[in-house]
Amino acid sequence: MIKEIHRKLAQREISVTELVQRYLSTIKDKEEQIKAFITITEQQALEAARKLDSEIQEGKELGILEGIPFAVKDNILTKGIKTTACSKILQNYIGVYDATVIRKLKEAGAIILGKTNMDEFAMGSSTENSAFFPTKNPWDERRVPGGSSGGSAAAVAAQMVPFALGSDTGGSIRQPAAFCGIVGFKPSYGAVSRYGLIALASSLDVIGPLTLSVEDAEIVFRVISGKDDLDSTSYDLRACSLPKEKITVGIPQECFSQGLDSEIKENMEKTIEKLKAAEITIKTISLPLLPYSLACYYIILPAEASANLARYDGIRYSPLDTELEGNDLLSLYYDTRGLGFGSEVRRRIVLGTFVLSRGYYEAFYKRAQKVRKLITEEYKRIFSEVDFIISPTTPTLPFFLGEKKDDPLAMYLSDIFTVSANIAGVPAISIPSGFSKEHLPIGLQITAPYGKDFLLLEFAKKIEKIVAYE
Amino acid sequence: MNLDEVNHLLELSRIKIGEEEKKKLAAELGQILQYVEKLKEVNVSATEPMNGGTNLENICRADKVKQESPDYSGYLKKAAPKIEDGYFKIPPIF
Repeated sequence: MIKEIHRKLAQREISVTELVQRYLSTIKDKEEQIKAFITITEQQALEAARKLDSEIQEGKELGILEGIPFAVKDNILTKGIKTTACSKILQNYIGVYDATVIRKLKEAGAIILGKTNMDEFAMGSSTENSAFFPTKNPWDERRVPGGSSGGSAAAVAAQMVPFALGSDTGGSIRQPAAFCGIVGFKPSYGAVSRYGLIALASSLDVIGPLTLSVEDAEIVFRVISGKDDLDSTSYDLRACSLPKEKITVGIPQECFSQGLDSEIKENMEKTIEKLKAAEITIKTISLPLLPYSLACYYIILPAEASANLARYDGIRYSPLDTELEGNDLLSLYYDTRGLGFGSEVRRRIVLGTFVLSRGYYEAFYKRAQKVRKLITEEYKRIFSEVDFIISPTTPTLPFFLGEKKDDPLAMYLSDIFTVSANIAGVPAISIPSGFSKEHLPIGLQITAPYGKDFLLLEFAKKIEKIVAYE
Repeated sequence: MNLDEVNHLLELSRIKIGEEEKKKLAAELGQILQYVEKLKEVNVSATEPMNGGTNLENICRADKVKQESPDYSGYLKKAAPKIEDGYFKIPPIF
């Protein structure tokens, strides 16, 4: 997809301005129904396009992403453009600097078309927790696009942009990608700089691409990844290529025992048959700790989030639209945070405060950190037996808007297959693997060992062809 | 989880909400804590806690100030609700 657009630009079949205008007009046509965007940066995008066009006139050679439009999840800082994390507490906040990923994409010549909707502070799996409005699934507008990167996934699926950036803390790129029938890649922890990403849980957060093909995901990933002085947890990945001998894929038996939708199960069984036919060795594996990942996650994430979100105090960031009553500092904190945070955010801050408080720290937080260590070791052990792990991305098909909104635990269970990759820091990708009877997309997740991102992408390209649906 | 506990946690979290919402929150937190209780089934006696998301060793760099632009702090302050003479303005502490 990106290569094809690049070819058209390079051969001057289309100008950058025409390309940007084409996507902007698709956005205009579809946005009223889909509601994927929080901010559309039409003027800046057209200016950037014209500038690039005049450089092309002067004979500039085009890089692969030069002139390619994209959208950005609204928790990634963009200088001079509103960055709200879809929270009332940041509703008037304008990015003071560019996140490293944005700087890199701008340097590569890619053009921002807008900022996309998300669950407030990336807390959610349906984009219904956005403080502004929910996003609709382009395949069925009565259903959610998944989340928290639901705006980015819907925008790519509706072809409003060729690619978008999202962030993944427990499945927030892969789950919406699966629900919207596109590719969503969560790199290894640290493979992409988090500088300029509004922090949710710093030991789990990763930025990654949402695209229409694995090849596109790889193109974007090559640009945004790498060590960054501004994020001390970032590092350079080593390139690697697929082994020539037979590849072994592990299928965790635990995936089939957790309320898996029957159509997804059927789809998975078909996929296994296709893989066997392609001479890939299939091995049933056991990850006994997999069912504990989500519980582990719902201690570590709130703990880190409660600390990260302490900074929203009503003093340093954008003002709320409401006039506050209190006239001392403490009231300012209470009122700002009571009015500015939505219910899911409040829930997680309070939960995090609980698991970190005296008397509970050892029993909850420290125990979760130990289980995290065991899960990480379990992955290492399994990856000494198999090259990749394959599972469904989600246990259910895209659900209806409102279906799970008032049941936090049911919503949390949407991430049951995706969280463990964040817990262990390993890379994982969701690729489309067909449709349900009602024509709803189904996602397939492939997980690789820590740091083997390029290997994962190579393999996913292969699998993408094998499971390609009619 | 009872209402006293929820009130205490809300105080620590610096969040003010209504009485009805507190009751709802208490019930939801109870449900979530019941779910995460299952971690007690895992034997962690011989395990050290994992403190971060990375296996990297300590990394050092020169302690040099890198400023994005000459008036970077000016930009940062622009975002704030109340600024006076270049300072953040806050309500009285007491």
